[in-house]
Amino acid sequence: MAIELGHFALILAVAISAISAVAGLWGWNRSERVALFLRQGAVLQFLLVAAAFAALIQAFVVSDFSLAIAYQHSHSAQPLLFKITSVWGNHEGSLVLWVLILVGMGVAVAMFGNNLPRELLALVLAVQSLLVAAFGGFTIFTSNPFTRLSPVPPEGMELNPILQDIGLAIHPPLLYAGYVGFSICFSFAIAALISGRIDAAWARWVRPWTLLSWLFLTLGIAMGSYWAYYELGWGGWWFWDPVENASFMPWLAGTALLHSALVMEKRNALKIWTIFLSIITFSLSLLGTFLVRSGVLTSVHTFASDPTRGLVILALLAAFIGGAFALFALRASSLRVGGLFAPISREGALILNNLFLATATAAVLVGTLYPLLLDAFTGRSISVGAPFFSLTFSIIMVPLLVLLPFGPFLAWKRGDIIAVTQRLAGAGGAAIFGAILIFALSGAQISLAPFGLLLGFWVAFGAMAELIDRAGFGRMALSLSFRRLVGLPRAAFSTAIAHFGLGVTVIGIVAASAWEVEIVSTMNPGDSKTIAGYTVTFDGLEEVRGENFISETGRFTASTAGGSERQLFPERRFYEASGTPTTEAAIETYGFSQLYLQLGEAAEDGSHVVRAWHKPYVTLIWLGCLIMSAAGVLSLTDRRLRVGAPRRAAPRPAPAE
Amino acid sequence: MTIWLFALILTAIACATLYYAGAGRTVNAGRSLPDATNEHFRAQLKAIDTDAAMGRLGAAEATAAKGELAREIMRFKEAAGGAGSGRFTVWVPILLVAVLSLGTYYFIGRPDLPASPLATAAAPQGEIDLDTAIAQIEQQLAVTPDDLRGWQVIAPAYMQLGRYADAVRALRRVNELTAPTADSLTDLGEALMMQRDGNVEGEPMQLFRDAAALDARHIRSRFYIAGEDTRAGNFEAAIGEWNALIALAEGNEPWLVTARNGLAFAEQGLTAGTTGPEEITVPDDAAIDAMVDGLAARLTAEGGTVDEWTRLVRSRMVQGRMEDAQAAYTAARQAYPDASVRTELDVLAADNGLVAQ
Amino acid sequence: MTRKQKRLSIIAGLGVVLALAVTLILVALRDQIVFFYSPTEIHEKAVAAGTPIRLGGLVKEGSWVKTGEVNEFIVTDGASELTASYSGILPDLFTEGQGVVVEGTMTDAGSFAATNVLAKHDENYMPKEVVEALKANGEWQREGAGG
Repeated sequence: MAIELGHFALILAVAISAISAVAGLWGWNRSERVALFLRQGAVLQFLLVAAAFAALIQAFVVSDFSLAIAYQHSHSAQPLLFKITSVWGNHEGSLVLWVLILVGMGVAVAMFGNNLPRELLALVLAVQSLLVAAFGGFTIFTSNPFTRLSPVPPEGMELNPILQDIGLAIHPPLLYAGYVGFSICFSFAIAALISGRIDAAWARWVRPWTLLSWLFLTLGIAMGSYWAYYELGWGGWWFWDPVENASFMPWLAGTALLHSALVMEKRNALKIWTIFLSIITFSLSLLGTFLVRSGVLTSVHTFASDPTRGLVILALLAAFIGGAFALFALRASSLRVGGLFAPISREGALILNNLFLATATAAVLVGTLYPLLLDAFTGRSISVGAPFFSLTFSIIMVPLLVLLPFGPFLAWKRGDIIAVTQRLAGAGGAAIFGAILIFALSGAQISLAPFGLLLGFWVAFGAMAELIDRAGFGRMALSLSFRRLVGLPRAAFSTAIAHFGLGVTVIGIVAASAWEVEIVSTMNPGDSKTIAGYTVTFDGLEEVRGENFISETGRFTASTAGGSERQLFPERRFYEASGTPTTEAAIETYGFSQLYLQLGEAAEDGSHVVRAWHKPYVTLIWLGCLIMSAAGVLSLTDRRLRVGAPRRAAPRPAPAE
Repeated sequence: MTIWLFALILTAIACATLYYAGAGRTVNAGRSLPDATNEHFRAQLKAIDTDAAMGRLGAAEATAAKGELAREIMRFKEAAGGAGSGRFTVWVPILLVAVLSLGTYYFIGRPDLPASPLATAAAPQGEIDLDTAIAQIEQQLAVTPDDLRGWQVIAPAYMQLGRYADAVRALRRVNELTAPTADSLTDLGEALMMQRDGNVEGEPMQLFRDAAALDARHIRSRFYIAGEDTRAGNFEAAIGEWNALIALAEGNEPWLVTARNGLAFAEQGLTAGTTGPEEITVPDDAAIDAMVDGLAARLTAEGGTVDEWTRLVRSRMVQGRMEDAQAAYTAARQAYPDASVRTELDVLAADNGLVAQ
Repeated sequence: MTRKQKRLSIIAGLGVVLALAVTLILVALRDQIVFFYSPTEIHEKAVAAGTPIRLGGLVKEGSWVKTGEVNEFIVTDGASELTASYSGILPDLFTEGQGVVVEGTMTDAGSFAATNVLAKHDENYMPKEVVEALKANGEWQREGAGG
């Protein structure tokens, strides 16, 4: 009953969205009532999809295998958490989650959008409803999660064991929230294009929503990277795989959007470019969610690809992305451009940032789609692997990172590059000193690593230098500087912290790639191996029963020269219901570095292949992402940016005209 | 029927709220709209002052920025025009919502199916009789025809029931859904052979050859090829095949006797010039008994995989020792309490009247 | 500078950076792509030793030999086969008779030295390239196999 009611709720929500889209696009400038109708529609869509999602969760929790996807992706012996995460651990269920977040964004516009002009509200909600209708319709008619089975199978087929991890509970919801959040910017952009004018509200809305989506996407990608790192057991944290690229492209474009929205919000410039970026970013999000699903790209992370749905997905993507760009081509020229500025200025620096980020996005896009195009036109199968991306991406990123610390120092409209260079000299000197120190400590080997670290330090120190400079440390009394520091606007802090986080991530990437040590060896219980100063001893094996698996757990002791001893337990698991083996790596963190152990199959003589890595400073990669996200949160709490924040009590006259 | 009642109530509530929002007497005048816009521009103005005070904007540039802002505001005042106050016949979209949702559900919903959480599911496992089990799998496969595991489970059950045409269909599907392996090709060949009363000419033979080509060490397919060559009188080819098979053996395989007999027969046939024997001699009973007893002893002592237990139960039944078969089945159930992993074993047991104890 | 000059200098700067970026991408694409081959294609095209390639096909039944941490197995597409060796721990779902994609280079001795064996998350999942290579060699969906 609950399942069927959930099914009906989903259908009703999609029906409301379809009618809302038509009504909104037809009547946005005809009547104020249309906006009110659409607003109510958005609330209903959200409530109904949430009910449908709850019905799915309930069916999975009670192991109701009359629900086809529960039968295919769940098992009664799974722990409760994994029964719940199984709901979106498959194609159909993950679509419902995607649509749920989409209607969530719609309801947010309806709730916070009270002070939007009615026409704009109607158009934005109409575009949002169109998205719900398209992808909700796709869900219902090609990937219906409410398909039933009769008679009811006695037992389910179990969720793919690799997905039975806390990562599945966190990663997809975060990632989807990031992807879908950009739909708001997209809807506002389309509304601006249709109505032919860029409302002041657009400038106010686009940055907080971009920031929120970017925040979720950053966390989602970092989480996904760490998940792949510990779960796939190859010790890698980024593979330049199509799925990863698909999430990375919206992140790059979204980062660019974040910076161009800043210019638009403060200086009314770059409006058309911001609209263009909004469309690009959400288009890339759609590609990210669906291109891999369409089955035209293969990926190691694919867990649901069905070529029969591919055509519909491609048609939907073509309609939305193509339609948005056609509209842009037709209408963009009718929009007015804003403020003026010199090439060397804060605006100029942000344009440069956008240029490099857009180029990087294009490089990743080309690398991801090129195999597809070559295959289509010549029939040759190729893969564009990590070497291509590492090469092009780093070459594009290096100038961006070099120039990055200059940006926040430059004044708006016209900056003085020489003065800025003088102010950054301290940070530059510190970065060079740090890099040379590490160069000397690492045995003075000629390699690219010290240069990479130099870049990381430069970005991190440069970000801090901005705060120090603004507070006036060294130029005035210490107590006064502290007071000035505390009094700085939050935006200054969030910029500095975000850039510092980026520097930390760069340092982590360079260090972990350059100084990683790996050994593969055959070990018997009692054997010891030394890796990067750690002695790893294989103490023995034991069999452990989990709730739905049997595990062969290796007991290892890692001891350091300092005498500390820690236990590591890498496992080989066998999931009984699906008969699938998995490998669980053991990871031990020392400071910022990690020791990573993987246990291989037993040979006939009882020995095991053991693969061990020492990854220096690898945690900095994710720590940097967390710092960036924290900066995002800080920026969101800035009152000035809060959407729909109550206005100041004393109404002041409009600014001078 | 209750589901329809709930669906109608849900639709009615949704439509009522939509109607209230879209056609309410008082259009929610809300806040005066210019307020929000003004506030935005005020914030921008304030930001200009802050930046100028912080030294992030030169004095001349600050003045220019204020000028730009003023022009922007002028432009807005000109462009601002309220939404039209045209008519919006709200009942049309509302009616469409109701028709669309109820209509779609009518076509794709399953209001007839009740919920069936696992706790209340009927038919405890293990007591399903074979026909019901097969019928269930068949129905699932009708819904999910791409379910490889389903076809793999049902194929041997069909073979045991003698439904060879169905087995052929299932095994073809298996070979379509996944890359064919030597085993899957040979299974299909065997099913075709049974369907054609033992005749292996044509497709079955081709399948065996494909299987052997895929895996040169695949005994089962090569055995059929050798047997068929011997039967058909292609003694030279047959001798080559038998020799190759014997070369593959490690020395104690039960089929070695058969292979040697076949080889002898083919050699004899080649010299005598006679055509094919009617059948190939099977290994003698004593050899079989020894092999099966050995397996039983090992499984009892050391345990083994479900497949091995299944093989033991099947061998006992072939030997006609039903009590031993029952004992082996009971032991296997104790070793593997989870029914989902021993589907094939349960099907085999149910088919031959073994009891779950 | 006048308005026009300012705008022009910005656009020129952007143009230069874009042109450099496009050149970079094209050069990198020419040098860094990895071709996918089936064993048959490797034999036909005489791929030079040392060129990084991807090899795809089925792991031949009975061909997987493990000595310590070194794995040797034969990759076949039905028509021809190639011995590949890989040092390390193979992905969980690596089994004989299943599809596999390995990255690495040809050795002078004519075998394949794998640096990476691509894991699959799903045991029913077959890399698209492998399916196509097998189809090309008639190992997939033989004729008469309808229904």
